Amino acid sequence: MKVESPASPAQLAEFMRDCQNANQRIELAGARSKARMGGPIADPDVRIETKQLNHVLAYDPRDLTISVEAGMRYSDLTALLKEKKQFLPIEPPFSNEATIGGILATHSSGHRRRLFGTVRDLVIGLEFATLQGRTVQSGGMVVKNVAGLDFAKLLTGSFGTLAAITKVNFKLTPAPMGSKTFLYQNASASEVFAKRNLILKSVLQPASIDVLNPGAAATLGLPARFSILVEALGSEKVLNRYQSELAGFQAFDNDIWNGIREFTPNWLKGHPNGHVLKLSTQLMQMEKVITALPENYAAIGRAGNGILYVHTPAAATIPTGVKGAIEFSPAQRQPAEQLWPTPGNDLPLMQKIKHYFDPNSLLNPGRLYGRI
Amino acid sequence: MSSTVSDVSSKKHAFPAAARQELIALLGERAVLDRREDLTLYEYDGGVDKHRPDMVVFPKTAEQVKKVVDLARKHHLQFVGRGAGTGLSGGVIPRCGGLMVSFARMNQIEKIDLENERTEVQSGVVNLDVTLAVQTNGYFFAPDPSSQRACTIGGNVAENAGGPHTLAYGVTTNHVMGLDVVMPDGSHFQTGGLEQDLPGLDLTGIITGSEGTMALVAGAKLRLMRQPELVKTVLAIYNTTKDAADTVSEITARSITPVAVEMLDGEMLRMVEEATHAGYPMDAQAVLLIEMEGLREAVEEQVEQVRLACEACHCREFRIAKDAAERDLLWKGRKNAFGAVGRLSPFYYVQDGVVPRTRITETLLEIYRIGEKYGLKISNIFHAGDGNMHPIILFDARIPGQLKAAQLAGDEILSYCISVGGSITGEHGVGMEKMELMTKQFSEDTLDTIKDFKNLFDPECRLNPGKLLPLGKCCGEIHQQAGTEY
Ligand SMILES: Cc1cc2nc3c(=O)[nH]c(=O)nc-3n(C[C@H](O)[C@H](O)[C@H](O)COP(=O)(O)OP(=O)(O)OC[C@H]3O[C@@H](n4cnc5c(N)ncnc54)[C@H](O)[C@@H]3O)c2cc1C
Repeated sequence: MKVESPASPAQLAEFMRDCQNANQRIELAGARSKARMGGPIADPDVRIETKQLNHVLAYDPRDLTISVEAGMRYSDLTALLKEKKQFLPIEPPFSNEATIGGILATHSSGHRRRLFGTVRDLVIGLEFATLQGRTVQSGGMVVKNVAGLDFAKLLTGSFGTLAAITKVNFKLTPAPMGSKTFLYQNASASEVFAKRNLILKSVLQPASIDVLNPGAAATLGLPARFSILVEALGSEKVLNRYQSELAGFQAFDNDIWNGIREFTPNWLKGHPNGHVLKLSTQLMQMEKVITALPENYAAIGRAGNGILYVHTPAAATIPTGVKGAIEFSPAQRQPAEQLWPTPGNDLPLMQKIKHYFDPNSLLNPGRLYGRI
Repeated sequence: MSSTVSDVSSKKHAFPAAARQELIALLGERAVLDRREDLTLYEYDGGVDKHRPDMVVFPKTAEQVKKVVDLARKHHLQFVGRGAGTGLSGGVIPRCGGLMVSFARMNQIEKIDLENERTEVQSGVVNLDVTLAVQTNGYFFAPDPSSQRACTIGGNVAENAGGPHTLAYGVTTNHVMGLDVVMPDGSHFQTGGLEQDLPGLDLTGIITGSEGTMALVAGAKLRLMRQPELVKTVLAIYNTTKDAADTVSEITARSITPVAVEMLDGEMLRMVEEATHAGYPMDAQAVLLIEMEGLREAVEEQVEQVRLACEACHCREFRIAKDAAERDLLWKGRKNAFGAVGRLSPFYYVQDGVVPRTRITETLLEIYRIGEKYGLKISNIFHAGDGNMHPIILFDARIPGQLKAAQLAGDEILSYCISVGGSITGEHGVGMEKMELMTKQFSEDTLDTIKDFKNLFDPECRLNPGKLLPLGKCCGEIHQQAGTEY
């Protein structure tokens, strides 16, 4: 296998076109932190890495926007923003190694999405290189923009199966004045979800609302019970208000969120045969799904969004009646029918789009949960 | 990847009688309009272009929409979806005639599920009706275009509409979870869902904002949000436009995050005040309407910080609306601005350029310069917080040359927006109005890819032809020059 590390987006587009012309299979790679994610990486002829595309292209803090190349590491980017008291509230797993391009391609997200959304909401523009050798733009450097098609949405979560993301523009957020974490635990899941429901119906606007099952709590060093963790951002006055509203909660160490963010990477390290299921539930459905899981599974739910991450020590399947995919599995992947068991009636449309961008199925084939 | 572009010449041919009969059989006599006097109502939107459809049909269900599309294909008709016709870029204009599919009778809110923060609606539901249906329970639908009393969810999805409060809450695409769509080939399916992050390509995201050129939207699954505890609205009054514009940068620089920052320049605020008596000072050169929402403690702090920012930029007066009535009055002025303009000028042309927030001051000065150059009055009312300018060019189409001058002035303003790193449209869409400017903002590769994409789903170019891309790149070949007859 050949490895190419293009030095510019233009060169990357050339490599893509050359591969297409030579009918070579391509693996697109950022930091390769998420090799166990999605569908199996088909035996490629060429690996195209983005690691040299790591430059900041434009950053005027007064505009609260930034443009970076796709190979830039998330950790480098956040360090830069921190100097200017700004931040990107993504909080993705593998946050030390992950590149911006990889985060987008896999639609990686984190605990603060209740308040800030995901990269889907934070990207204001991007550029990508196609197998035809085209460089295509979506959006731009302004925070509101409807000119052209919103290809950024299509590329987000496409697992590099359509094109290679080369540049990304974000809107930024001023860094919060302070943050505070609150914890409530109970042996009964329904008590924990009752707390969650009160918050959802209240006027509080926490950044994060995560629910853990006893397995996940124990893994994080907490007593093995159902738990709800809430993160509030703001001034001291605001944080005090949360304190007084969140009856029954105890203030807790903010560092717990590092453990939450890196939960999946740590789990995978400790469980070579481990799987991680990503389940998309409705808010009111989550309790039923989390309580039905076996005891040796560790589950973390974004309880303000409905996303449930289920960590298992060995092979597992998506529970019936629940939507989702096997997000991480060992190198020996399961077949597509298990990785992504219930695609909607729009799958043919997705396949049509794949075929348009990649008629010979050369680009990360099967990476989108074996189906695309 | 060869493209099969069909000829969609607008040479007049009679509407096939069989198609008419089959549409009536499908939808009923009363759901089909084709008398000339009726069609005249459907030949325009809120912009300046016009063209009459050959027939307007009013389906009531997604299944009927699908069957209408099947019939249109069978009879080789072109078709376009229509919401309320409030679009400002000619998106809904049937450039080649054909069938117009009105969603006016698909106006049912089908499901409200507050616990799950979702609602499912037919696409003809009026934007404001979604919020009205849930507000007594403390929820709202965030995208709030100034036209929200009239415009529909389908139109919002097509244009990816924004509004004053999208500064904080995001635009339509951030609040649409799934769509019920009929594609130009007649296939009918559901994208996305009630849940977030469903695996697969984000078709909801790519269809939203495609300006009614990719799919007909029959229904949508929307996200609802919880109302904030406290809302504070302030009016900051200035003696110079520059000071007001500088305040916008100052607010961003001070890390304050209001939910809305709207600006009216002197010309505009006088027109608005005369029409609405909202209490704007007649002698000021600019005002900012700034809103903070959220938890009581956070809002109170922010109001204080905003006051400091305004004072640092020489604001003459800083008024905090003392109650809901006063707040509504301030917003009434803002939301009825176009009506106010209409009282004074028979014709106006609204632009929608966006610039980085640090470039607002110079952009305004450039807009005034361009107005002088063409001898036209241009007043400004806009979403300053996200740099989304709305210069309103006043003209009189009865005076020869004025419409042309207004269009040239508009193009020059938008070219300037591009030159400072901005965009030709923040929320109104490219439509048939700004097609040629696309070449200034996007590379050839980008335009070719947009064209291929349209072609992929609509190889016969049946759905809303002649939009979004420059003529020549556009799907189909338009033989008729876009333009207005008055
Ligand atoms: C006074 C005034 C103020 C405005 N303020 C704002 C503002 O603050 N923010 C903003 O974003 N816009 C604003 N607009 C523009 C306009 O209201 C929006 O673009 C709105 O989203 C259009 O909705 P509509 O239902 O009127 O769509 P229409 O004008 O009927 O159609 C617009 C486009 O959508 C397509 N379409 C409509 N329904 C469907 C459907 N069901 N399926 C597929 N395609 C469909 C049409 O084909 C067309 O291309 C304003 C307009 C006016 C007149």
